[in-house]
Amino acid sequence: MNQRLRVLAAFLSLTVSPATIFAQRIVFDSSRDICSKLGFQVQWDSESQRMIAYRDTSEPACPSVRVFSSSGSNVTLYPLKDFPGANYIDIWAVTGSVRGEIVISATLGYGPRNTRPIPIKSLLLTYDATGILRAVWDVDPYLHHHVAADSAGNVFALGEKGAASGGDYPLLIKYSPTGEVLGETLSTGLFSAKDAVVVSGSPNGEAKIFIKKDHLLVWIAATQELFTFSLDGVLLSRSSLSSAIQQMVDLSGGTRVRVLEVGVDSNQGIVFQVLLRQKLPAKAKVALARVTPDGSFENWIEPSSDGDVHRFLGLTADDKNVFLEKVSQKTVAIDLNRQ
Amino acid sequence: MSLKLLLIPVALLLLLVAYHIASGFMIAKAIAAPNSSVKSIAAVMVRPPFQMATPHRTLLTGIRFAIIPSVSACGTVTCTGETAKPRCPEGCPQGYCYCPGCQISGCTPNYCTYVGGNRYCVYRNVSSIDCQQHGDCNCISCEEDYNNSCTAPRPCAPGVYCE
Repeated sequence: MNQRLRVLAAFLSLTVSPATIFAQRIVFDSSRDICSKLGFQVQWDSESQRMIAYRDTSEPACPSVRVFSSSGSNVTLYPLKDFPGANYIDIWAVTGSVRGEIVISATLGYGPRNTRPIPIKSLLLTYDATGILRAVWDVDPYLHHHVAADSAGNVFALGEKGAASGGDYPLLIKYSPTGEVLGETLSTGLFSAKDAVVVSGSPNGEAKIFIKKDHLLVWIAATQELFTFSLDGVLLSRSSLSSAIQQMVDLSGGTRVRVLEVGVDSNQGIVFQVLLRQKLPAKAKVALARVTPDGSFENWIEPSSDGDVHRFLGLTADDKNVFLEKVSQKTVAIDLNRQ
Repeated sequence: MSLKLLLIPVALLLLLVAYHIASGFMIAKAIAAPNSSVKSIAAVMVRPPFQMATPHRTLLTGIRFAIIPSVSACGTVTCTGETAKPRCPEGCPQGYCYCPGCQISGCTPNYCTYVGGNRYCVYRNVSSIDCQQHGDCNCISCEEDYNNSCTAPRPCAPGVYCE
C-alpha cells in the first residue's frame, strides 16, 4: 500500500510540479496581436497578484486591457465595444482588486482624435473577473491618473480637475462600490505645484497609489514624498524621501535621480528602481535601492548598471521583488520565483 | 380642509418620484453618448446594462450643464484642453515604453492628449538638453519627461467659470 502511495506521490510531483512552476511564471505573448501599433504599458497589481497591460485604442475590436494572473487565468477587455458612438478610448490607469474586479480610469472621445473640441467623457469603469462591464461612473470634472481598489470594493483615485475652480481642491477621492464619494483628501494646497503633481511629466518620476496591508500609499514623485493613509482616508504619515534620493545621487556620482518604480514591503521598507543621470559622457544607469521606513538610504539591492536591465514592477503580497523580463521582441514575462 | 391635508403628502410623494426619475435620467444622460435621443436615454435608465453614477454631480448641476455647457478659459493663454500622457512607442516590447531603444535608461515619451477642460499642454523642442546629453535624439518625436511644460499656465481668468 505504501509502495503504491509512493508511486502515486512521485507521479503527482512529476505532473503537478511543472504546472505549479509554470503558474509562477506569467507570460504575455503579443505576437498574434494584429492591432499592435501602440504598445501596452505593463504594471503589477500586488493586491490581486496580477500583471495588467493596457493601451489606448481607436478600434473596438482591439483589446485595451489584458490581465494575467499567476493562476493562469487571463482576461481581455474591449472597453470601446461597450460604448457605441465613441471614437476612441484612452486608458489613464488600471487596477485590480482581490475580488477579481478590474477598475479602469478612461476618457472616451466622441469625435476624430485630431479634431477639437470634441465631447470627452472621463469615466471610472469596473469590470468583473469574467470581463463583463459592471459599473460606469462619470467622474467629470475629475480626470483620474492613478487608481487603487480595496478588498471591500471601494475605489481610491488620484486625479485633477484641470484648474477647474481656481482654489485648492482634493486630489485623492474615495468612492464607495456604488460610486458615492466617501471621502476627499490630499488638497492641492499641500503642494507648491498644485495639481501638477499628479500629471505625468515630472522629471522626478510618476505619481503612484497602491494598497499594502490595509494602508493606502500615495507616492508623489514631484515632491519625493510618500503619504500613508488608512483605508478610511485618515492621513497616518507624510514622509519626505528626498534625502535618501539625494544620497543615491551622491553615492552614484550622478547628477540627479528619477524614480522609475516604487514598492513598499510589509514592514514599510521602500524599494526604488531609479534612473541615475551621470555626468557627461557617461550613460545613465539603473539601480535598485532600499530605503528604510524613516526615509534613510539603506543599501543597493542591485548595483547600478548602464546595460539593458529588467524593469522592476513592484512587490508581491509576501514582499518578493517582481521584474518584467524581455523574452523576445513580442513576449515579456514575470517570474514570481525570482528573488 | 381635509382634502388639502391629503394633497400635501401626495404632492410630496409625487415630488420625490419626480426627483428620483429626473436624477436617474440625468445620470443616464451623463453616461450616454452625446446627442443620444431622449428615448434611448430613457431606455438605459429603465433597464440599465450596468450600475451608473455621477459622483461629482447633483441633479441641479446636471441640469445646469445640460442647459449651459461649460466653457474653458486659461487667462492670457488659449487652453489646448490637453494634458501629458505616457504612451508606449511603436515596436517596443510590451511594458518597455522608453526611448531610445526601449531601454529603461531612456526617456518616457509623453504625448499631449486631448481631454478638454481648462488644460494646457505643449510639445517640447525635440532637441532637448537631456536628449543631447544622452545620445540618440531621433526617437524623441514626442514630448519626453524632462522639463515638461504641460502644467502652465494657470489658473482661470477671474470671474470666468471653468469646468
